[in-house]
Amino acid sequence: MASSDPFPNDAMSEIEHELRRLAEGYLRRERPGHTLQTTALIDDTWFRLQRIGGIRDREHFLALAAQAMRRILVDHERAARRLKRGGGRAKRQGLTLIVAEVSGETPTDPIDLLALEEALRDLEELAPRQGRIVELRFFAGLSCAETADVLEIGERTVHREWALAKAFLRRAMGQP
Amino acid sequence: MNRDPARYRRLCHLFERALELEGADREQFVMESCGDDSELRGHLLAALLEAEAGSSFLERPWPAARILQPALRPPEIVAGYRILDLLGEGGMGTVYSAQQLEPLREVALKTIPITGAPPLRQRRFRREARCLAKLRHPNIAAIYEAGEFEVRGGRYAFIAMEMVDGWPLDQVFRSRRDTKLSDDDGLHALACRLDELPEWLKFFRALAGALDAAHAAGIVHRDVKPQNVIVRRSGEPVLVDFGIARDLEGTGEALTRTSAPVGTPAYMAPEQVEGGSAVDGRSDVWGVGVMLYEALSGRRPFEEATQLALMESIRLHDPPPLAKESRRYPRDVEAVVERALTKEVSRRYASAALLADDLDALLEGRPVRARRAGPLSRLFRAGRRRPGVAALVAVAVVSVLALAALGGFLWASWDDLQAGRREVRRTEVRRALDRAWMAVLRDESSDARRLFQKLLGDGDAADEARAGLRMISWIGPGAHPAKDESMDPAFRAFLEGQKALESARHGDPAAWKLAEERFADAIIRSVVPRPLFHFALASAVGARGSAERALAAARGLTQRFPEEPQAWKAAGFTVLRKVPEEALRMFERARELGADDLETDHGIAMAHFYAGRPDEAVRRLREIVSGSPDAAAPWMSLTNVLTVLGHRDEARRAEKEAEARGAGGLEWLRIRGERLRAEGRWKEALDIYEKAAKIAPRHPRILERLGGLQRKVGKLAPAASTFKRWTDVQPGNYRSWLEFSTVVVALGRLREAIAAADRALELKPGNTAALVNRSGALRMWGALTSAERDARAVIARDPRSAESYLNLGLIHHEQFRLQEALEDFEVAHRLGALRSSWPHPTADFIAKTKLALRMKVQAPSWVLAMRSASKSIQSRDWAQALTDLESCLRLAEQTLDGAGLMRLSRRVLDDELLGGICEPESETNLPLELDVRRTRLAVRFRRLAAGKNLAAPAQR
Repeated sequence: MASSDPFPNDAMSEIEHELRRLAEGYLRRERPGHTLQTTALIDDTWFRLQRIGGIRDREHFLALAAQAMRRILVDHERAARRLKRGGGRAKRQGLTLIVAEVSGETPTDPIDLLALEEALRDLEELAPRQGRIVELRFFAGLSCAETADVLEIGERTVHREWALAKAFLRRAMGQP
Repeated sequence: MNRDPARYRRLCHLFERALELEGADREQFVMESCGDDSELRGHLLAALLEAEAGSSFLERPWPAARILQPALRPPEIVAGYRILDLLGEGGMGTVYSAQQLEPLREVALKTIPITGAPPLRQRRFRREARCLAKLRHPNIAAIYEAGEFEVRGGRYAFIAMEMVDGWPLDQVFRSRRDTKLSDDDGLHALACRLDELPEWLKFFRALAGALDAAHAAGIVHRDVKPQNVIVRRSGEPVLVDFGIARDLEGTGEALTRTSAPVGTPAYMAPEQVEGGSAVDGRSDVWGVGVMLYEALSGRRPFEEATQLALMESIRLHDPPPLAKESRRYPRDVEAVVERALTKEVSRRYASAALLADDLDALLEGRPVRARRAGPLSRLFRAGRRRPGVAALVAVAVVSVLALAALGGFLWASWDDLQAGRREVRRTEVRRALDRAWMAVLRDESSDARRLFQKLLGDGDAADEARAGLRMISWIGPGAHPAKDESMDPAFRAFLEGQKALESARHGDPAAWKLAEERFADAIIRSVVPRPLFHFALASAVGARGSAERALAAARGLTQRFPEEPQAWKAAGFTVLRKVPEEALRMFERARELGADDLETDHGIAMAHFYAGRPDEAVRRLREIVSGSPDAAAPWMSLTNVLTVLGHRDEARRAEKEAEARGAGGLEWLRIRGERLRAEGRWKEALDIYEKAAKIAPRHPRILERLGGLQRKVGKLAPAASTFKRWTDVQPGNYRSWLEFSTVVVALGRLREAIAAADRALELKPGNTAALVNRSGALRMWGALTSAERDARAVIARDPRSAESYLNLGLIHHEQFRLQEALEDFEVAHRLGALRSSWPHPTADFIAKTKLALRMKVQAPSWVLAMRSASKSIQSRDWAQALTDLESCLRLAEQTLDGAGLMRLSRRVLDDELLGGICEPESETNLPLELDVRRTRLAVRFRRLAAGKNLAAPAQR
């Protein structure tokens, strides 16, 4: 996990709390056939957080959110695996499956999230900024341009480092 | 490398430098810089590959990441809207409450990110947004504006729409189910108020109407579900969130990030669940059906634990019967829901309008359309699930060749293979109905009427029989099947197709396409698949389209009914002229399947002819006619082939032989006559029909055709006597009287014309053609007021009746109401200009009337006296009225000739000017002196009107 946390703690925990609530609901999909109106909810969160204060701007918010999302995702996956190993009835599905299902892909090429997390930590040791880019692109779903805005670097740099990071992660995760 | 920062930095550095190089240079650089460090080289190449070609790896973000989508922030202003707050609704985009600055009003602003959306989609979005903005319907959220804006580098499309005050229907549903959920009293009260059958019917009727309006504007909603229906506080539905947003979704790479998760499929139609097939308005009809079911029963028709199971269920299972707490709804209500929830798109309501119509019918207690084809459509549904039953449905076609000449000789019936007794019974009914329809198509309306009347008592068939009887009254010259809204839409389309085919054969090239379209429409709209429609379409295509299209149509036919000899035969005739060798194969196949009949043999012979083997054709045709000497069609082909080959003598001999051997009868003449008529060879056709009329002097169809042809070539007096004979034969057929009146008006036999038109109108009240005739005759007769009444009656029914405006103009002109006359002439002229032929010199009339107005021509004194008389009558000044009429007559006698006096008198009588004197208060008698004057005048006018005493000197 990213160690340096340049953001005030209360804002971070507030965001993480909100996001966790949203994302957990999303992941558990408590009611079959029910889909979260996610866009609206996060906007709602953003509006409320803005009123609390402590966040400079949306870029700042997204940077925080990306980290939070990553944590939530990995925690969720760990919990799911523990449950499986513990032999309890696997109420929580493994994330890998859900990612594939929700994104409408056939689960031919599932991403092992824990392997990704491990590789990402290695990458962060070598090139912290590339780690942030992966965080923002994959966990927060930002485009290259938006990522460039958040990190206050050029878009071309984002493209370049994104390619490097992907090559690294692929190799580290043993993907062809 | 995985743990060595220095090595990784080196890799990054090399990567940057490599990116600056191209092609072989880059390759060389990589080789040189990495040396024999294969790990470094491999990593570097992988990174380069990622940079250049990319991969799907990690490119699709974690789905929940879309909750971080950037959005608008209050109170910023975009595209002239101040964002106020989030409305808390998501779906395909984000909806904000916003304040439009100019004009100042509160709106709901829906935004959809379109950065990177394919240009085609963007264009379509814009086009549909424009359509939607034009759409004004009380049950569709009004769209104020649609456009695009850019904010923080992202492009968005937006739609500003009406803020609807109410609750989404799903909340209303929930609120009545579970009172604990509704903490809003207004919502709960609304839900309780709505929860009654008539209220729901009205509600969904309005919704269906809204969808129909949208469909008419070319917009399909595609996501009809309770969340998208807002219930106003008044209980009215408002449809929101049209499908335009969904156009921007889809698989576009750049869009996946922002695309919202797929919603619940509970309201999706089977074709939407299946994907692939085109979604149209009928998918929206399904959505309404699901909501109607949910509204009435309190549960959804399809409910499963998982989405997959739900989709499976939508595709394959019938919903449980519509009932509420074990209480069933009336059969008609069930039927409507069932029809809206029909899995096969083609058997669902063909449009939202039809659904609305049936909901209306339920509200008014009329029978619903959904039930009309009930048993049969169930039979078909069963057939889909159990293929064995589908074999029940087989087809028989008769006399396809005649189709080529007449465009109508088709026969379709359902065969009863080893089925249960009920099915057999249904099949018999169906077959009887088809026989009746065929008689309609063959123009044998008396047969058709008899057949339909027999079926009126049959529960299953009564509705259709009634429709048939109604249709018979529509067929004929000047009939407009499209106007009969109550007719089954499929048959209406079919009949329109037949009409178009007829115009096409009379040389209107545009009509071919129309005919094809209408037949295709008939197929789409028919509740049960009717081979008849398929054959009609194939034959229309075959008659006109290219060889490829004809072939495609024919193959479609045989694929649809592969075991049916008649289908192969029809297919053969479809391609006969264009691909004769293929036609030959099709006929052979028909014969293999058991079509061992004259027509197949005939088709084979003609295929040889078209394939360039005329001698073979002649040989086979001779064989056929020697076997069946009384069949007219093969004889006809034989003489035609011989004529084409230049063997005129032989052709004439064949013709004589045909007539001698019994084929020269009525059928022969009618086929020849119809063919000539279809080719526009009126005179020759007339000769043939004159012969036919000698054989069958009282045959109504022959009399009709004969009269029509006589009129066409200008023989009006003979036409009149032919039509007169027709009225003798069929005094109960309004068309005989109508045709007769048309001809005698033209001949100036006004009394007969008026009487005939009266008779036609008695039989067919409100018939516009008869009213036009009578109006014209009355005007010429002099009964101007009655003529005007008729003309106005026509215009009320058909505002484009140029004849009626012309008539009005002439009436007003005669009454010296010149300004009105001018306006009437101008309308008539404009409308007439739209016709392909308009023989009346309206331009002249306009010019002359204008001139008269410019010269300030005054009405003659007798006209003024007459006007004064009607004013006096209105003010009940009987003495003055009589004086006015007396002076009118005196003045007229000084200026008008005998004919003029006659018309004047008729006008006076028609206006009941004399009768109007003291008529309303008959208990107080006129003073003797006035009564004497009135009687004297009455006698004078009556004699003049009858054309008597014209030369006699005026009496005073």
